[in-house]
Amino acid sequence: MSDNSPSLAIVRESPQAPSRRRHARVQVSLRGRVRSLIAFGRATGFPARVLDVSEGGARIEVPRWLHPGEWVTLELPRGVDGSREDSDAALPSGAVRAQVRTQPEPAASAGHYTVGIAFPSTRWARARYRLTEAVPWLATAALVASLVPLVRLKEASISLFWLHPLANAYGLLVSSYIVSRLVLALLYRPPPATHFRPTVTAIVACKNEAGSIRRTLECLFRSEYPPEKLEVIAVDDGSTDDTLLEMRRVAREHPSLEVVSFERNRGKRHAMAEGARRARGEILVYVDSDSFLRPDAILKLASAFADENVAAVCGHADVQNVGTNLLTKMQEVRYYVAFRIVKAAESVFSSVTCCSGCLAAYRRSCVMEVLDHWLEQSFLGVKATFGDDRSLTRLMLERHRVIYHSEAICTTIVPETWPVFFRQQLRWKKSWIRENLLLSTFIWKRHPVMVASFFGSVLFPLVSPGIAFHALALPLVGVGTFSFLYVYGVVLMSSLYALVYLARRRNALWVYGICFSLFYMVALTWQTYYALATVRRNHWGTR
Amino acid sequence: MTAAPRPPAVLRSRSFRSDRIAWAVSVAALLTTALAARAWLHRRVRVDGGGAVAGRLDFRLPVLAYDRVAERPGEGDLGADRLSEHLEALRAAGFHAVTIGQVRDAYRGGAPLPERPILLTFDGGHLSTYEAVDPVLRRSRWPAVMFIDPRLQEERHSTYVYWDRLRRMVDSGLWDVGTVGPWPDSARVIEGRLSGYAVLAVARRATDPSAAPPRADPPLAFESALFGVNEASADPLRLLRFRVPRAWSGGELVDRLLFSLSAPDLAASGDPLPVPAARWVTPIGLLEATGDAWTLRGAPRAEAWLAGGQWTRDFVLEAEVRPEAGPFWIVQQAFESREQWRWGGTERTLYLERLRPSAPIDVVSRLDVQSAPDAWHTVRLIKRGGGVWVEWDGAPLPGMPRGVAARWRGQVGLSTGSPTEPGRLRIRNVRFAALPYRLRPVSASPAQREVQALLRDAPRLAAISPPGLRQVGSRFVPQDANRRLLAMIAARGGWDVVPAVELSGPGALADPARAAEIADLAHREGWAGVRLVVAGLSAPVAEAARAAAPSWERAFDRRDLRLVLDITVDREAP
Repeated sequence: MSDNSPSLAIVRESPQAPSRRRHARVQVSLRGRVRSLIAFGRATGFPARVLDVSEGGARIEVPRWLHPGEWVTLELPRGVDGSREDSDAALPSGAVRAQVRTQPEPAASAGHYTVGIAFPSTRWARARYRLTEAVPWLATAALVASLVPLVRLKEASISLFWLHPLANAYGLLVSSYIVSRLVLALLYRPPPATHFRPTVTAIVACKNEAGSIRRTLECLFRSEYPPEKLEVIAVDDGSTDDTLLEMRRVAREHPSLEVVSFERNRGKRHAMAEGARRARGEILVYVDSDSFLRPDAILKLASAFADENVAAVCGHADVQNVGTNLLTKMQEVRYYVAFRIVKAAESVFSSVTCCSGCLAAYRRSCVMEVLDHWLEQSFLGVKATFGDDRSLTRLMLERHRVIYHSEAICTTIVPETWPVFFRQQLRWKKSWIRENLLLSTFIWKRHPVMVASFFGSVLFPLVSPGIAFHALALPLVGVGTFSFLYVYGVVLMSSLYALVYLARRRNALWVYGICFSLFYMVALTWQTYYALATVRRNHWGTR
Repeated sequence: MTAAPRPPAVLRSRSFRSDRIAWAVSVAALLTTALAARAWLHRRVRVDGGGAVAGRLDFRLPVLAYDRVAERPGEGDLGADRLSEHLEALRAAGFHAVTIGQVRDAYRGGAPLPERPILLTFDGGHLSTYEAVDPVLRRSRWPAVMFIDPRLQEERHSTYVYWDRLRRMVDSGLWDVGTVGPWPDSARVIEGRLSGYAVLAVARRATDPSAAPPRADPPLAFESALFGVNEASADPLRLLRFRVPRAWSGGELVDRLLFSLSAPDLAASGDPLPVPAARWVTPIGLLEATGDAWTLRGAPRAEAWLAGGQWTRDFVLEAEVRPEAGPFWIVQQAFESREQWRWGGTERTLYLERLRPSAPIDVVSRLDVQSAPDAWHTVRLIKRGGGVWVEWDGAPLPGMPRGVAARWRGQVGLSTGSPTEPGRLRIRNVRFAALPYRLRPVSASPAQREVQALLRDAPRLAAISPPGLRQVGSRFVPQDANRRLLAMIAARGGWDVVPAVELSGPGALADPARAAEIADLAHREGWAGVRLVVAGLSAPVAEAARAAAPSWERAFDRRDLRLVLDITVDREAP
């Protein structure tokens, strides 16, 4: 009880240095409590330490990751105000609402983070807070409302089905696919927390990632996992920059880090395989060199292996560099949809088709069985270089269950420039084509809903460029009429996903989800055919 | 050729028991749902075809044609509730809806139709019509026909019923499908799409006699008409349909049908009965009640027809008329040939004319009269046999009676106006009745006195009957008669010549082939009809002969020939 009661210890007034801050800061050390509002009003509480505070905001240290933009209630001890008789400013006290404004930074005490929060001090800010509280409900209402025109459209498609059977079948299948993703994602539950603590080897395979490797590794070492059961291996795939140097520097701070270096570049698969061979843990956690794990991510992933049928667990990736530009904002929503909706839906049938390279865990014994086969994979007579994640997932899926864990979270750096993004998309599409072809040879043995949605998800991207061409491009040269109905359908469908994002994340980025769909429709959808035509060319693109 | 190497065990895919169970359950559920949905959508309805009601061979079949019907009717649509009201009113009035198959059997196979049969047809093939009408038909279990133009289906117009619905429709047993397209090509299209189904009917919107005839005869063909009532002897390729106005209540529809179906009362006492307003039908122009009179007006023409007028060849029409603008006419028009005769004109000149489609007007008589302008005039017009008798302002017109050689039945009405002058005619005290066909036997070469006696009865006498044929064994022997003189007398009185044919033997009327033979003979001879004289029959044989009369009448009616039976009973006969 005494731990929870706030205590006050003013350290010193902050120096009057030139600052853009509107409110003077007081450095304090206060014990408070944070209540974090999860969507739909569910709240969790945990202790927090206030590091400094001003009228407009505070910096707090919390034992949890807080998402930027998230709203929390900070319970401050009363009397902070009275202790500052020399100040005109009125510092908040009692329970105040605050919004997380910065990316959580690792704090001095292990497993803790410092985050900057802002108080809604003005009336406008308070109104925004109220709005934010209502956002999940509003978004849900909007989602249900946008189902109404969808149902109307589909009712007409069913009623007039035989008039244009192919087009209607396509439309009905696409919308059933999309709505089924939503329903399945709603049914999805993360694997239950267990006391299963197997030995884990985290493997970071990278090339020329000097800028982010240190942080990636440090995040791993900050994991809330018994240190004696956690092993970290960093494999340098013949980098030409300071990557290896950085690894060695981290190794000096964390002697348990095993650094493996290839003299020349051998490819990511070989780096990953080398890690697997050297690993002593039962579970291999593969982390991309530009992905930063939350402290509890490894724990969550590892405990999901309590089910012995599970051979791989896919973690959740959020975008680290959200605020950089339009492209990263769009990718933020896309990542959310790809993970929290699409992979979650696949996970309901334990058949996730791609464990993203950002963060994925595999049962080592299962990987070792297929390692050579994986390394030597070739497709159409050409050695497969990229798509290592999809390929390994497929090999797991052939004989085991593969699931997704929505609470094992990392943040990853996404492409910030269009050329890099396009090259990455092309690479993904090529591996998508190759792996789906191979998957289709056995995926039919899985749950029928999974099978239907898998073949749907293969069919739609192949057909949609043709339909988009017919509806959007041909009218430009005077053939047919521009189909606003098609655009309307795309916006409607993407709104469904974007509204789920809004309900969960409660920020304005949801709009970029709709932007992304339109952008995809106009610019990216054609890439599928290009990828098909050049599927044998195996340049990495971004490297 | 060597078999592909089997992949190592770790690469061999595996399935899970729960997924296998899910597959079994899903396939079973999908199959069940698909089969159940199909069975439900194509379920058969037990049609209430009036089967329990005793059939009739001498039916009169009204055919209703509805245009677009809708649940929520827009402008130009009939509401489903209004249709429902119509059907309920029809059922309450004792009508029984029949299928197109029953109609085909009746016209092509001589099968009977139930008492008060009616055929419902829907035009346009709109999806909204199907969606609105189908539930109403399912509730009432009354069959109907939908006429479609299969080109619209082939062009995939979303507002028209597509083949899936048409399949459901014919599977339900409630609906039949007819075509408005060219025969037989469009029917072949429909039959190709609805395999196992035979199209029985084609509907033509225009009633243009000069339209190109179909290359092959459909079983039944329909065209639109004012009254849309067909008798058993009608031409199955020219069956009439009546387009139901949207505004009509069920009561109005039933009233109209009952009037259209029944012949006007027989003026046995000599005094025709007043005509109620509901008997008048105005396809063009307006008929308005103004005080105690009606005003018929329209430009360039206005017409008002008497429902039920088609059932009588002989009638008396009395009216007071006041032509206010344009000429006025009392008209009788044949349904099929569009042939007509008319009497009327202006207050100064009165005409009796015969009109045939695409032929110049044949003025039978023209008469200048001294009538007060803008005054009411009384008209009494008697049409009997092939002639007309007219009284104007209480006195017979000079030169009456006159022959118009119209032996057909057709609708009777009034019209006004001409292409140069809009018409406006006031009418009051209209009385109309059917007349019995009165015939008088005459000698082979009538003398002056006999002709004078005939002329005294001129207004109501319809025909003269000289000796014609006598049956000797199985042959017919012509009787002596002064045919030229008889023709002149008939022309003088506007009478039909209906020679007597003497039959002998007890089974004289029993043979239907004999009826056709005599009708053919009369037709060839140019007679208006035949008086069958059968003498010396015993009472039971005479009774049997009278029972056979309807089939004889049908044989004659088909050729617009009169048949008068003159059966005498010999009480001494065995």
